[in-house]
Amino acid sequence: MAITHIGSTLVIEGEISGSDAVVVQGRVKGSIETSQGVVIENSAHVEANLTLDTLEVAGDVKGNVTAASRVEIKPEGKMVGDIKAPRILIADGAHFKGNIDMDVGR
Amino acid sequence: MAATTVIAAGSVVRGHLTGQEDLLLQGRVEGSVALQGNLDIEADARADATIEAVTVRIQGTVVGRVVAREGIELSASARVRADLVAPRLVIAEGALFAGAIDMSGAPVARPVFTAPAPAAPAQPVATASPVGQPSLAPVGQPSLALGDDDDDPELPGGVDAKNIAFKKKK
Repeated sequence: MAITHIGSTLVIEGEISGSDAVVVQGRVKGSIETSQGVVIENSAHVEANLTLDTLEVAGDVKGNVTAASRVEIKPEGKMVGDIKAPRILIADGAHFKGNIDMDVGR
Repeated sequence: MAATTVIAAGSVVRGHLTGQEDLLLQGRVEGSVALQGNLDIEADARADATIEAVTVRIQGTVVGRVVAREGIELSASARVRADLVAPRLVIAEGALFAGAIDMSGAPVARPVFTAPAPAAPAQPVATASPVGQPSLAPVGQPSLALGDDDDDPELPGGVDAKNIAFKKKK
């Protein structure tokens, strides 16, 4: 399975879309849309609307998320925005501000 | 050490992309790419973009403009419709290319007359006066003046005329 990897010095203003898993270490402003998982790593700053299968947040995320299966905010993760997903995990230490809707697909 | 960004085969990035690292493109980019690193565009990848990077290696499809600080390489599988700006450029046999090329913006300004200079010792009369060889040393000088100084007493005027014609072509 191919992985799109946005390195730590990279800045993308625009949209990322496709059918690959995405790992973000840098900055993305715009949107990310994929049928696979997305990992927002510790060094990453993401200001985007996210449509994906699973999301792991260990960095900074501002934006709304629609996940087909799962969203996890790690202890070092910070997230501001609304989440729509059937399963949501928020770890001890994580920051979150926004609305949660777990009624997807029911 | 600089990381490498990968845009995988199933991914499309639309917009502006900047960074200080290498980028491996297997999918698609539409917009602009500005890197303080190298860009590698693989065979099935496509970029519709204005590209700036240190070196750009193209095996896939590029439409737009490519500016490289060091060099651009078009491999045999490359399909490029773009303007290319780089001090060094390689186009491999089999590559498809349409567009303008500008290699004049080299960071180290090269003497314009490097090409005519080797032509001077190729003249058969050079054997008569080995003094003719110093024409290599003052590279920036027009070769016409050198030819006059060294070889005028020995050469028929016809050779001078040929020299002028060659210079004009360049």
